[in-house]
Amino acid sequence: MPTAEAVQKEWEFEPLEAQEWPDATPQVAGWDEAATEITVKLSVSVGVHAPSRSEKLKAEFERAREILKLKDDWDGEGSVGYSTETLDRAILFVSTHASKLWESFGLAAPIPTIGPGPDGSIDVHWKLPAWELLVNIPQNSDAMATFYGDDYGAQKIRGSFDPRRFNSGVAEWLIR
Amino acid sequence: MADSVGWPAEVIPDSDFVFMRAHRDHFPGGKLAPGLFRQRGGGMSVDWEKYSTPEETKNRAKQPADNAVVKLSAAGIRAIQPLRVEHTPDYPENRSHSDVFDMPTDESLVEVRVRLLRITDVVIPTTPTAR
Repeated sequence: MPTAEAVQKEWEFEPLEAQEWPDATPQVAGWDEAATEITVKLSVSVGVHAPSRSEKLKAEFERAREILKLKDDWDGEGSVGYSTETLDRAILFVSTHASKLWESFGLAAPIPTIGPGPDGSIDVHWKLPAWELLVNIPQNSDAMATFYGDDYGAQKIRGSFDPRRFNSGVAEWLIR
Repeated sequence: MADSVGWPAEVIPDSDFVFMRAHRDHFPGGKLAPGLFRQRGGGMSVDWEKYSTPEETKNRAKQPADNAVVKLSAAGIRAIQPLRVEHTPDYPENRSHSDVFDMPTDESLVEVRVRLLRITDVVIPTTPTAR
């Protein structure tokens, strides 16, 4: 299983100047067919501008704070509650990757759903039409985060990494 | 195999389904999330449809109103390595009681949870009552 460190060594960044992508709304008038196709592809893979994404991300972080209301046995089945520290690590993981992708490449990461995971851990889950990725942030701050993603087909990504550090393998998956 | 007192453990056919409660907080943003799938004790408890309806599964919760019910096929569970689903009747409380065994404890648990979510259907949604 590749660790984050192993993946990072394989994929080095060359920082690029951030640049804005075209508006997600296709500008069909006056465009030829090829240009329209390119615009649609960009809209699907990149989505709307980062400022709009930023607001949505902020809203998701706010919603995720509901998790902190879940105390031990919150589901009546003996599940343990969640700590602020674990949630903060989950939020830091998401915001670090979203910021780095925007600042380095001008690419806006999709918005995940942050939810309760097993044993006091927190799940960060992206489910898109073309791919899915689940990152689990453990309750133990010294433990590695684990992740699995696939494109509903043959391409898969899995492993573990320190969620306090930028992981290029996960980041690459987020901008597929 | 039969308990000395109680119900025999039967083989759950691949064509059958099992039900599972899903607390309303397993629906962050309104959609079922993979956090539902977790081992408790020796396995992940489910109810075999042969001896339970979705409503009965819901009503076995401490707070039924806070729970939805989902279903998974036995064949679907068994297709996810290394999972097993077996009938483990709980005499005299619940003849339908079954367990999904061998949930991983290592990093492959995330993959198993993603795959379980894909074969899960909500059969009784949560009610939109205020907490």
